[in-house]
Amino acid sequence: MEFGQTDDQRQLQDSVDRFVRERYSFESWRTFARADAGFSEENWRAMADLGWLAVAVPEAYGGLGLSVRERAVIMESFGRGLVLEPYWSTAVLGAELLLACGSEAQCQDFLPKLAEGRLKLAVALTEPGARFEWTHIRCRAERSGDGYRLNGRKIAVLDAPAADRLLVLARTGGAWDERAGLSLFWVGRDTPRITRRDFRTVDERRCSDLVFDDVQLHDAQLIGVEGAAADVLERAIDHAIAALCSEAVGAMTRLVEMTVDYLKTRKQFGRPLAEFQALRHRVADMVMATEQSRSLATLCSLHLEDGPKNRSYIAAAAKSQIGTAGRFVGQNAVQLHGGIGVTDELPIGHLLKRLMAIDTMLGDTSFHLKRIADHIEV
Amino acid sequence: MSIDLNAFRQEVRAFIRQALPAELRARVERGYGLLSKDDFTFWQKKLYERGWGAPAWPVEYGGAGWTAPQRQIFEDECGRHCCPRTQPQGVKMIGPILYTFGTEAQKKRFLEPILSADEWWCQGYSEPGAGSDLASLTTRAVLDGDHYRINGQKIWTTLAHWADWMFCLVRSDSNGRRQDGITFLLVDMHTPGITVRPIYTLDLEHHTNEVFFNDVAVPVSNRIGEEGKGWTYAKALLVHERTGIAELGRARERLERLKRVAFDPSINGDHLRRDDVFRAQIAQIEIDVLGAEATTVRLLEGGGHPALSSMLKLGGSEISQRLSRLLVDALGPHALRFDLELAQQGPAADDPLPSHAIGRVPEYLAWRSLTVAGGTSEIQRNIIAKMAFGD
Repeated sequence: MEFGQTDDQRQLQDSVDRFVRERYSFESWRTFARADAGFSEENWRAMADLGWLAVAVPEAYGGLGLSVRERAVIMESFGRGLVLEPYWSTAVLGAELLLACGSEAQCQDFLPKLAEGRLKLAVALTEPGARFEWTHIRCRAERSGDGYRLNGRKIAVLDAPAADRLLVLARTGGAWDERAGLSLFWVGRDTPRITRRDFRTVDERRCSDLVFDDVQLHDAQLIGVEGAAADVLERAIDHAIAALCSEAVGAMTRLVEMTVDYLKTRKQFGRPLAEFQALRHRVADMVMATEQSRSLATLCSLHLEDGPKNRSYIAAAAKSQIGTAGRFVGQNAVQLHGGIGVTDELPIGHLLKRLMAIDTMLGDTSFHLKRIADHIEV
Repeated sequence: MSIDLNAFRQEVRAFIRQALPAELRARVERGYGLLSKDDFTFWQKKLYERGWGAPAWPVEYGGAGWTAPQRQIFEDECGRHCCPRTQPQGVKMIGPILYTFGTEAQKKRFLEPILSADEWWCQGYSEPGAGSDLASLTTRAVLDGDHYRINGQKIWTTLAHWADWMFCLVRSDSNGRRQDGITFLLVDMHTPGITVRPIYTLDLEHHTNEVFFNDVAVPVSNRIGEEGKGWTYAKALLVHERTGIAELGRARERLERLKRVAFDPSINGDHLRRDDVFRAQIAQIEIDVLGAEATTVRLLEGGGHPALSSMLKLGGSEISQRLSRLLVDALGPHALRFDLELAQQGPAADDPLPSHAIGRVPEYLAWRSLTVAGGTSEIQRNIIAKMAFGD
């Protein structure tokens, strides 16, 4: 069984779906979204208690040592439920970067706390002018005493406001667009000389634009080998893409369900909208887009341990697909709800917004399509 | 026992290399079905000798006993390496009906000659008045002693002009529900009263036909199952039919060919290599093929969305059509020529196009039928929607 779920995975899915049902009614969602933090610490603690933050962390570091499939199950259910807690930044992208290039001491420092819910992370990659090209880094970390001096800007860093520590990609060498010379650092939230401007995201989460002005870092804050972060970064990015794809599939699935329910209930011209073929065919197209996305999202998770070329190719295909499909399903769900679809009244607008946000994370549809197009060979 | 799928793929590939003559492969590459009956028979016999005549059939009837991934790999390799496409009427359509619903006598009589290509079949379903609405068919069967008398007409009967037998849906009762008055018959195409008339399609080729029945006698022993239950048996077959049409191995072959043609300097110079829009179209099809392949594995594993076979039929047919159009686009001005004869005979020594770039315009035209045959794309959407709405 490649694409099917094991019994344990099915049980995990039931458990996460129950969490969402019990804690994430639409009214509760609004309450969490309106809070300053944009999420609920109580939910976060519950996730930690349930072991979900520890799912893909090895047992040696206090984790459950399960696979990326379990993480995908959780992300898909979170997508269905519009879950707001900063799970992805901490337990997916952040954890994968630590696991890929952290020293033993750093893993021991970060991961057990992370697994227990006592450490939130945000990962600062994107910079103005670079769009989605993650190797185009102008943030500089120059040697200074027994450490580094960090200077530069990062934009749209998801979950930075709540993060205890930031993981920052900066250049210790090489030209601004070179793969070589990239290094990963960690920075505590209260480090001096960091200016943070916080924003609500389109999907009611929180992000920050950051300015680093001669921020002093110790040697111990370098994660991994200086100048050699590119390969491990791409591996962590592909893991994080797989997780986002699963979340998007959850959101799309929920959008289709809600649209079907609405069309069965809403009557015009004396009958339910569900009887009009034009609308039925639109739903059929939405179902197909969702199932195509589900196939590629799972394929992406299945190939995360492949060599980098194949792993990244499938991740690019999956991310491109869910961007296209997310846009189609989201827009058409709103359309098929008619007038009420363009209000703030229903979850569907927020699922559309979540899919928009996912498209801006780690490269949009066009970016990944171009990556594949640029490497077409006979 | 876990099966080494890579080793299996190599085994299939080695078989193809050894069994498929280069000349036949070249003709398949240029055509898209422009093969003779002898060509298809030759290939089916090669498969039959290997024990691969109908891999998906139960082992007791001649199947290969493969897992779902193995079946997919086999189809994939055959498509990628330009093997003659197994004509579906026998192996994929009536075969499963026979071993599922047929009597022991019928299985004994008909299954083996399908495997060995000693007998050819055609499908007598559609009528001029009954296409998507197949249940409205009116070809009449009247019981007369131990025979039925058939009067009426079938259309879009592909390869009726080669067929020894037809599996045929006829109306045995006009009272009650339309679906309940349909009977499934096996008709000997040599029976007096049958007339086959060719229909030429957009590619100017003769693949399909009209078939007229004038007091055609069919023994009751050639009925599958019970009178009036034909619709049930036919519906079972339609799901099988849908799973076959995705043809993703063939799509992979066309995708690789598209890149070869597009980036061939003698055809396109450097233009398409540097054309971001064209490259993006190729990339998008690559993504869609990858997704469809993954969806196929999900379908074969079972337990996925109930409408996956319809999604694959719809998605796969559209992918093939887009590929066929891009291959035409990749020819530039060469595409003005309707090179059907070259596809049949092969390029001359001084032809500006290599063999694999020929026959692309006729293929594009022939493949407009992919979204119509086997259940139109609109019908597939109806089926997917029906599952989604649960009605």
